[in-house]
Amino acid sequence: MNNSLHAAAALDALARDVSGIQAIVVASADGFALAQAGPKGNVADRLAAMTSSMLGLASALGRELRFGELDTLILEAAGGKVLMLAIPGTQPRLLMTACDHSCVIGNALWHAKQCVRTLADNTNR
Amino acid sequence: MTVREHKIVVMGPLGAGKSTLVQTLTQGKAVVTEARNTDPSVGKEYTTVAMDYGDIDLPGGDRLRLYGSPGQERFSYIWPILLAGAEGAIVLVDGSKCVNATLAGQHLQAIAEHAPTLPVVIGITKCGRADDPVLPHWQAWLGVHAPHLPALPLDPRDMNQAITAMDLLMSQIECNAMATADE
Amino acid sequence: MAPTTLPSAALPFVQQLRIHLAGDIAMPRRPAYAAVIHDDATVCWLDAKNDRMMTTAPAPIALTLLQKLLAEEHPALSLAPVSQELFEQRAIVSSNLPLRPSLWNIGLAATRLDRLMPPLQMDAKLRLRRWPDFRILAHRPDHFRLCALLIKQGASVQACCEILDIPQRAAQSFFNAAFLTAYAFPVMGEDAPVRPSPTDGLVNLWRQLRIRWSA
Repeated sequence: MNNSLHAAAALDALARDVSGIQAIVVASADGFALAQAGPKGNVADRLAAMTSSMLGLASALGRELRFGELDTLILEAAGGKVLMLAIPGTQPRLLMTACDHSCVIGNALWHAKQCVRTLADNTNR
Repeated sequence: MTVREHKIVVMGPLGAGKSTLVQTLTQGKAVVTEARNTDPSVGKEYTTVAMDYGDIDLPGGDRLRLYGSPGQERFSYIWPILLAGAEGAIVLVDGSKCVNATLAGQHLQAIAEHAPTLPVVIGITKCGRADDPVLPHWQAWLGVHAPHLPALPLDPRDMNQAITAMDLLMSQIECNAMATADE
Repeated sequence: MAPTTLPSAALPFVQQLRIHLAGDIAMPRRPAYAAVIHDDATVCWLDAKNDRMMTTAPAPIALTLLQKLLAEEHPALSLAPVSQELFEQRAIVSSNLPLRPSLWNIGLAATRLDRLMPPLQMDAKLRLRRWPDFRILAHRPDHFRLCALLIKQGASVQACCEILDIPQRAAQSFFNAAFLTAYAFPVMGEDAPVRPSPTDGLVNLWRQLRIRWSA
């Protein structure tokens, strides 16, 4: 119970601290939506599945290149950017943040990584 | 001389053996994208979240690409992506399960929708001996849902059986290509 | 002692058998079993629903007899549908075989070079109503190709040989087997035009690869 309150708080903080965030989803590694925030959060189920596919492919690429575990994926498009990060822990999870063009990528990335740290710490309690 | 890529997709519900089949045909060299299953209703430790990919070199330089699709419904958005440009598909279903429980119909439906002229072979896995008066409930289901598709028992771990399934698919592809002269 | 025959006894055996087998889906309340009778004795019992053939004598004897009889122009056989009760009272079963695969093999073996199984004429066109049971096709890649063709369109023996480049005997025996087991039905009409298969396509490359692997 505590965990999900902390998660919700962490996501809300992220949505607040970074301007231009359209959606935030926390997903299980196998593609289920665990938590969501932001105006486009209602399609969280689909976004969760797609995020897990993307990071699944990214990991395969990382192994192929022998780069080690890939933990961040950044997609840039004309209309916005998408960040996908692995959340370490006993139950691996994923964080997806979709931002419109008003968002500064470096800023968004820094805050997203903070969010990941918060979410990761929670599972170890 | 241009080298061409050919694509075959393996579809079917979770746990039927798609990833296994791709590994068998590519001699263990396929790339996988698996995550640990968090769904307690599923009796499998890992599940494919994007695709399995492996390739086979064909004589003359062409390549055969094999794609294993993710079986779960939440990844169904990937199925049309994988099916695009495919020359054939093998649909695997778990023969040990009750027909309705496997949602096999969904995968055939996806093919009917996104690739209606695609040659398809159905592989029934986890069957037991091929000589058994096999699975009358499957025969009945096939007779209703896919009477025009060939179906065979298939142990996806066995290279010979995997090759036989591919042989059958190739016959389908061949006849589809020949018979469309007047369409 | 053989059970009483029904009005359809007036038809030749092959027709009776085909009606019985094809009736699977169409007539769910038809009698569950049928007796195959020769010379007033039951050679075997058929359970179409569970795909079983139960021979009264040991299998090799019964099968050889059926092959011999079905190779004749007017097979001295008749079919008598029977109820479950009658079957349970009367049946003496020596061997239990898969029905359609066994009939298929009988059809193949009963092939003569000079004609197809009556009433088929040599120029008869057959089409498959569904893919046969996979037990029949296993280990017979030549049959895969014939099935793949005939499921899509009707064709004659001659047309099959030309399109698939297979020997006449192979096509003829396939026709007999598919007809006997009621997987195939005769169709009328023109042979559909067929494009030759491209020689550099995936299928041919795969077959070349198979040859390499077997070497």
